[in-house]
Amino acid sequence: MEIFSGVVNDRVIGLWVAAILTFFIFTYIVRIKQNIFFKFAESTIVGAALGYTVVLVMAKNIDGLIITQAVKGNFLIVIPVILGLLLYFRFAPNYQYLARIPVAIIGSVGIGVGARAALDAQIVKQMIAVSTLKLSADMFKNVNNIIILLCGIFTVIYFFFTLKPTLHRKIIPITTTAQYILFIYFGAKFGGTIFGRAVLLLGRLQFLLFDWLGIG
Amino acid sequence: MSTILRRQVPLAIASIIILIVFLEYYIAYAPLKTLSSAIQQWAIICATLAVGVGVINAALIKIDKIKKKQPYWYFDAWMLIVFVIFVVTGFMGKTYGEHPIFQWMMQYVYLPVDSTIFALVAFDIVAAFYRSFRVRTGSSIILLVSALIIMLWNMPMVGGLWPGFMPLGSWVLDVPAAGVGRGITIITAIGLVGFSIRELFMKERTVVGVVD
Amino acid sequence: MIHKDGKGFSNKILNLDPRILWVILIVGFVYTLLSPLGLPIKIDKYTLDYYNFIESLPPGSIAVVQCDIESASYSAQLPIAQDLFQHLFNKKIKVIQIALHRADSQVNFERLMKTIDKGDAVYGEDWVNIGFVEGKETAMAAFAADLTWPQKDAYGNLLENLPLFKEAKTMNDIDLICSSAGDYWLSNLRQWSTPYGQKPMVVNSGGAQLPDVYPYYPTPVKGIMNGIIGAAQYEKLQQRPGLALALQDGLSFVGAFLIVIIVITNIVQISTRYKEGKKL
Repeated sequence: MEIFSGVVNDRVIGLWVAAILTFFIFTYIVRIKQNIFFKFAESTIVGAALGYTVVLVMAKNIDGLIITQAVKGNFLIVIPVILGLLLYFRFAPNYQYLARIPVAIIGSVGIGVGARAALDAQIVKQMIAVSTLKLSADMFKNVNNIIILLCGIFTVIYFFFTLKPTLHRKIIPITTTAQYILFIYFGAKFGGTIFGRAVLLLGRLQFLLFDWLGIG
Repeated sequence: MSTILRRQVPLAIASIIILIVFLEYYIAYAPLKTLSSAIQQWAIICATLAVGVGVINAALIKIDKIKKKQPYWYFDAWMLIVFVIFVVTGFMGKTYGEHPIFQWMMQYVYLPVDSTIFALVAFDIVAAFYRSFRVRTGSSIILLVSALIIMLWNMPMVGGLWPGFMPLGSWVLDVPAAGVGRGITIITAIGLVGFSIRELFMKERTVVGVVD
Repeated sequence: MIHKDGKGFSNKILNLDPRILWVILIVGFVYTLLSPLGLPIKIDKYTLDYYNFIESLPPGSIAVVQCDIESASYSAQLPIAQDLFQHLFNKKIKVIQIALHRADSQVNFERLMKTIDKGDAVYGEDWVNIGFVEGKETAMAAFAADLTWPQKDAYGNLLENLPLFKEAKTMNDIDLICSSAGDYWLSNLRQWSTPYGQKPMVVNSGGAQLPDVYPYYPTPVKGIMNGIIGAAQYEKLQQRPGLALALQDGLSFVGAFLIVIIVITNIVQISTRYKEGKKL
């Protein structure tokens, strides 16, 4: 076992630190009140996350997106820098409203970029797929295609809240059927979730057994 | 004037930008594309600088707690010490985050804690399965059966030992679940486009931080 | 009657302390890790299509990979990314890697690349690691329009000076989009695939995302790797047993364990309510 071999190097120290912090987090499941071990690990990770954010998010991207452009002679880059610095007026009580301008830019660009592409990829392309029913000689495939078509249409009607079942009673059979179909979908998603989460726990146990203790 | 500057100007900016970004995607016009690309880059630069606001805010809150000696203030002090260590070591070395000490801390301090916190979710999921997957109504039976089929389909040993089961799981995923998935894809996109139209007409104030 | 604090076998089963289940879970996981059974696994069509599509690409094709190996889901995402990158390098497909979701992905990616056999691939010509770029979907759109838009790679090199970007200038020049970033596959599809003529994509999805990805399969999504389970099947296809295959017995255990719990509690609940003369 490497950790008990007497060798002290950065890997052995690291394995011990990682194992101890792992156990500190696991104390959460024992449900101790005022769990100082968990709080210690939690404050460590918050500090670490803030630290690497400053380095890898701010500094690296400021270097790449701002400084590099300025060095190339693109001095118009000073405009978004000024707009971005307006955000820091958030800390000046009388001038907080100035921070809304860069927030408006960030929010509207993000929504615009997402919505314009969603209109194409998620609405138009999917509507084409829904409205194009391909029938073939294979009856099983035809039945499946019809079920997919109906499931899609029923789901859209169910979530289209402009049509209220209390006012438009004719859609009640559709929304009731859609409810049951939705449960198939949610059941399928739920059934797939567990393995993705279980592997995270398996990974930590694998670390403790194989890397830290050196068993196996 | 004050209300115009505080509310209407940001809303107007958001509205104009949405229009430009939208039109650029559907109209092939070079000056529009150049303008839209520039605005997108400006937004990314603003977002990069916005990160500092969050960091400063978090630090100020912790410093305030330490000054007032609120309960567990020493953990907040430790958090700030860790923060400073990560920042200092992150800037050492030729490029950002390249120094061996920074890499060591990311591998043996940050990664174990972050991955173990998310590993705890496995315990909660087991408890959730135990408590919620109980037959009560017709809908719960459908939910339960669907979840069981997909769990069996996903289980590696079922595929290996009982390959005949796989087509059933595949059918649930390929037919009803996919049909609903398609419907949900369409409806979420309609919601997103509707939200952007509200912003275009300056009806959506939350996006500029105005909460009535 | 079923009481929370009641005695009796059915009450005990239906009001079990979850910590007992957790202990059984941990013991079972430890056993499967220390004594793997090596049960056979079957390859599903989504993984097979994923593998076959990459196999069909000629050497010299260019792939853009959004690979976000978060620390939070490291044990899930590392094997998936390992399988993908090893296959791309084996096929001599040129790779441009970018992270857009979490900055710690940049550090984890460095660790990943130390485990990949790159053959005679040369950095800058055959593969480039851009690292983490802030901006999420807006950055995706800007990157697709100009692949050198982030200016520098993860090591401080100017992208416009790297030979790979002489032939890959926009997303139009890309042959394959690989999405290995969880829920971001939809953003990748919206910003990288659909606006550029439905560029072919392969998606590494978590198990819960499969019903959402399927509407886009087989166009433009050519194949889907279903999380760690798909990664194990991929390792079997590559005949390269790795991290994912080592975890399969544990996943089989947790699935079987949960199914047993659900079946037992429902049998006890239904029989108890039947004895009390109540409906379901």
